Order: sequence, then C-alpha cells, then structure tokens
Amino acid sequence: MPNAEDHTTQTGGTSDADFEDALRADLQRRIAALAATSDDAFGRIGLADGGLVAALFVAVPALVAWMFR
Amino acid sequence: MSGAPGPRQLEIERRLRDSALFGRLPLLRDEREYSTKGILATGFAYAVAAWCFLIGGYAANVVGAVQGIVALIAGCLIGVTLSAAASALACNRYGLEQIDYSKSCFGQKGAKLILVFYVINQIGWTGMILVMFGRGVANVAAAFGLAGTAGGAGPSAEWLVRLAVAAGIAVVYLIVNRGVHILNMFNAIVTPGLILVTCVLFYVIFRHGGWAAVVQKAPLEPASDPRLGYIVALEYGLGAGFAWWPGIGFLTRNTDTQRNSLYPQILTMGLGMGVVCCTGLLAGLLYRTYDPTIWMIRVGGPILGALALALIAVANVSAAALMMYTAALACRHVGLLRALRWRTLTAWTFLPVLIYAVLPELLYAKGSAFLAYNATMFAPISGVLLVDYIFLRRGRINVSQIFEDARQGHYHFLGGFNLPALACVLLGQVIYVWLLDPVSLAARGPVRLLTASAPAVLIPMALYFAIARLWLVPAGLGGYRAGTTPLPLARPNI
Repeated sequence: MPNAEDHTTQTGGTSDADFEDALRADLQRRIAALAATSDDAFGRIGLADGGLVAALFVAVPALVAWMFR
Repeated sequence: MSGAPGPRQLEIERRLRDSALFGRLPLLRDEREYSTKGILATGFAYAVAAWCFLIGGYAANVVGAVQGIVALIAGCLIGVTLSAAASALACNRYGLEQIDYSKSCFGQKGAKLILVFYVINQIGWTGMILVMFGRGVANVAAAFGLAGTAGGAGPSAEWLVRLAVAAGIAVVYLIVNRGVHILNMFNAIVTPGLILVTCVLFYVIFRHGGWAAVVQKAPLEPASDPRLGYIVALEYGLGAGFAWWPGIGFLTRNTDTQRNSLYPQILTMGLGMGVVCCTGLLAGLLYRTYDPTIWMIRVGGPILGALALALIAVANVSAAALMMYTAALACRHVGLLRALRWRTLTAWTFLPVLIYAVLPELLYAKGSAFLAYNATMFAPISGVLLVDYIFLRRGRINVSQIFEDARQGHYHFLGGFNLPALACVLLGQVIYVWLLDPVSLAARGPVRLLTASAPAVLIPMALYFAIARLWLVPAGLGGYRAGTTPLPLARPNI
C-alpha cells in the first residue's frame, strides 16, 4: 500500500520537469517491453478455460432449476 | 564510465517505481507481486468484508434460506465472472489500470464517462459502510444503556450515528492523506478476525436454531410474488458481484499469469463472498432484522456483540480508506484534477460522502437499491468490454495507443468517444431499470423469467458486436484492424 504523501509529490502539482521527462521515457520503455513480451509468458487462456466457464454458467442455472423443481 | 546515480536520480527512480505500482505506468511481467497464493490471499482479504453481512441481510428481506443461498452464491459467481472476464485478462496482459484499459473500448474521452460510474461505486460503498460503522457505534452504546438503538425511536440515536459517521469520514480522510500504508497493519488483524466472526456466526446460528428452524423462516419483507422476491435476491447477488468491476484492474494488473488474473477472483470475490453473504442472510432470517449492527448484539450479547462490532468498525474504516484512495487516484484521469494537490483532490472527492453524515438512516435503508444499482451500472459495461476485447480484438490491444491523446490515436474513435459502445451501455442500463427498478423494485416485462441483468448484458453485447462489424471495423475506427506494434506518442496522456 502506498504512502499518500509520496503520491502527492509523484503525480500532484509539485511534479517537476525532470520527473515528467523521466516518466514519459519510462512509459515508452515499458510499452516496448510489454510489446516484446510473448503471450506465452503470461500463459494462455484456451478453449478448455472457456469450456469450464461455460459449464459453470450451465451448472449454476441447472442448480437453480433443480432447487425449484 | 558513468558514476553512481546521485540522490536526485535515485529519488526519480523511486517515484517511477511508485508510479508503476500505484499509478498509471504499465506494470511489467517481472514486477508483478501476485502468484496464485498471493492473489488468493489478497482476494480473500478483499472479499471477506463487513458489507457481506449487510448484503446477506438485504437478501433476507425478500427470500428464505434456500433461495437466498442459491441466489447469493449464483449471483456473486456470475457477476464476478462477467465483470472479471475481459478486464482481468486485459489488465493482466498489458499491466494496465482499469480506466486506462477501458479507453480501448469507450475511447480516450468516453472512458472518463465510465469513470463517473467508477467513482459513484466507490463513494456509495464508502458512505454505506461508514453508516454501518456509525450504527455499530450507536448500537454498542445502546447495548450498554447509553443511547437509543440506531434506527429505533427517538432522535438521539440518529444524532449519535451522524456524529460517528462524521468522525469516520474525518478518520478516513486523515488516513488517505497521511499514509494509506497503515492499512496493511489493519488488514492483518481484520481479515482473520472477520473469518473468525463468520465461523462463529455459522456455529451460533446452527446451534440456536439448526438448519430446520432457519429454513422455515419467512423473508422479513416478502415481495408480493415469491418468484419476484427470488429474482430480486439474485439481482442483489449479481450487484455484489458486478460491484467488483472497479477493483478488478487494480488487483489483476499485478498478477503474473492470465489464469491467476481470472480464477482466483471467481473463487474469492465470487464464491468466497457469496458464502460470507449467506451468514448475513441466515442471521437476518433467524434474528428478524437485516441490519448486522443489530443482530450481532443479539447473537453475541452486549460484550461479544460489541467486540464483533468493534472489529467491523475497524474493517469498515479500513475498507472506506482504500476505496476513497482509489476513487481519488482514478480522478487523476481528468486533466483538470491531475494538477490539484493530493490534499485538495481528496477533499473534493470526500464532499459527496458528507451527505451520509446528514441523512444516514435514509441512505442506509435505501442501501439495497444501491446494491442492485451496481448491476445496473456495471452489467452493460462488462458485457460491452467482453465482446470488444474477446470477440472483436481477439485479446489484443495496442498498449502504446492507450496513452495517445492525438486525433490519429487508435482509440480516439469520434472526437474521443466510441459513441456506439457508450450508447449500448446506456441502452443496457435503460433495459435494466425498465425491467426492474432498483429503487422501487417495480418489475416489468419478462424479468421473472430472464432477470434484469441478463438482458442488460446480452442485448448491448449483441448490438455492439453488430455495429462494430458493420461500421467501426470497415471504417477503420477504433484500431480494430491496426497492428499492435508500439507507435511513437505524439501527445502522451500521462
């Protein structure tokens, strides 16, 4: 959890030009790094995951229907 | 050879790190803090919150135990799954904060309209739990014969609630301004404490009445039509699930994998929260009041009840501080507010909360309407984001363009607004309110068959998909066919 006092100087009215320049340069660096990171690094959500969630969406209404049978 | 970095350079690096963790800079894969164990623990800490008891209590107003359990667990699970599906995957893949990610769907300026709902959600919940805190104080005082019961006859109790809410607002304001980091210490006590209270409650409820007694209890204020009561309870569950939409990106951008961004939220904020809500439901039915600040005293007696309420008071102040912190932080997306000092910005953000110190009882009694309104707000937003990210963009956005304010930016759409997406959200909200008015609970059309949330999600999804395929994609608006290679930023919006 952040310290709010740090945060005031970080993005508030007291920011200086040096920090603004560094922030933009760091943003560009991060964008490039994320674009260069393969999807595999995060693992892929595949058809099996979709199937699991779909099954959940069938199972829950089925449970409800069973309760009201 | 370059020398060691000076103190100024070190200071800038520290601020950049903070800006990545708690601000808007995208978080890189190796900076993420949460693996499976970490996100499960954090998710439970968020999910097992004092408002669960209140949500269960609202359900006890309209349904009995069996229907209530099904409605709350199913509602929380479905609501969280839908609100997390697109946001969690995108915020995890690109390390983005929630409103930044929303720009890919609603446009650079359109996302700021979504920000309004975000802030309403945070401020509304903050007010609700601060009133819960105030009523807890008043009811503990009443248990020791020092004042009347909150919500009971006599003006003194309401004044005590008002004073306690005002004091709560002052404490939360101080925490948000003096260092929210102390909440880590609070949470180390609060989360295990709330889990303990939940277990003790289940034990006491079943020891006092047993399942057979609880299951026969009628709802506190049954709807004219039992089927409508069931749908309303399901909408409460869905509202509780959808209410997590603003918090999803904050957590999942810090997770390491796509699966860890999705399933732990479903398990903790969906199933876990649903189960804890059931405690409030069963206690409400057994002790014949929706209000946890009253039934806790009845369950535990003055001493144990007061201790449980004291824990809930700390939990509520802690949760309120976190929500107001994120609400104020989100306001930084608005250019005019970005320049304000933190103290001034938070003061403006706290202004709307003051109404809860003026009219605490009225707003607390209407809390169930606010709960259902969460589904009204976020069901269509979740549906449109889902179809945009999963079906139209196939899980890919150009992260550089999220930070591009120039007209040629991919997510500029028309004048900064993706009008079809925003219109579909508005349509979904109108459909919801027409089917089920969250304030009066007046029901129309096929709501008993379809619920209000399902049409409010599915119709905007289908409509937006059709409009995007027929107009936005062929017209080259929204960068649907553009590549994901980073482009130089002409007007960075950070």
